[in-house]
Amino acid sequence: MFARPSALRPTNVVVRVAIVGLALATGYIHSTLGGLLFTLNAVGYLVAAVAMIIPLALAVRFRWIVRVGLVGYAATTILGWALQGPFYSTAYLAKGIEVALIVLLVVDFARMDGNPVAVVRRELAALTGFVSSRRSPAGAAA
Amino acid sequence: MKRLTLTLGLVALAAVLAACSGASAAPASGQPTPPASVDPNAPATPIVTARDLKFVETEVSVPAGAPFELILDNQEAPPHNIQVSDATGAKIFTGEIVSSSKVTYQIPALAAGSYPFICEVHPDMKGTFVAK
Repeated sequence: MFARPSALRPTNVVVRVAIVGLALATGYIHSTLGGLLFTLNAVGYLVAAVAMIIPLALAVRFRWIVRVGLVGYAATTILGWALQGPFYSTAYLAKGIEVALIVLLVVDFARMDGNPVAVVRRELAALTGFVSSRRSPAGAAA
Repeated sequence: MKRLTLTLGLVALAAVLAACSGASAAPASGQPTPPASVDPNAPATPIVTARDLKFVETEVSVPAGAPFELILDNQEAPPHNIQVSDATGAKIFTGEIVSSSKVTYQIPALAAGSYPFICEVHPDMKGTFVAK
């Protein structure tokens, strides 16, 4: 269930801690704004921050999805703000944090997962292998 | 002799202090007197209160044809402001966003009619100015 401790290099640890800190920071800002939408946004950032560091085997295996998901989440938040506003100091601070968060997530992805195309191919191959094993008689017997 | 002089000096000082502090006290009659600068015929500044993510006053009468002041009293931590639009939806005025404080806006002159207003941060907070 729990992943074995991995040998992260100090720079990777710094990047990961920064990602979690930025996600929690923008989540906190959104939590202070009141209203369902902002509160749900804050909860989303909190869940993503936990998913970035939790040592569960499943989370470690699919950490790349968490990275991509958090990039999409932050980008959607920025887009929603750009379309609707409001444009004031706290919002600019939150958006600055989210831009920095996206940059660090891209860096983390490149360092930990490598080429995104290769990651997708690898995952597709793993999925194909999993489906084939389930359909084969041996897999069904198992 | 020195002690007597000191005692008399202290009594005199106490009398002076008592007289000074009494000058700013309320009149003995207990009837409050309005400050001289307040014009009783002047229209009151309209107030919009923000509480529980709602505007308490959803329909506010404002003077038509002249700029006027409006107070937003945000009584909670989430930030609020007032953004006024005309009937076509064009923005006429956008106020500063504040948290847990009051702010006085200078609203430009509005022709007689109804003007919807919202909080920019929480567009579900709505109200209407009726200029007349």
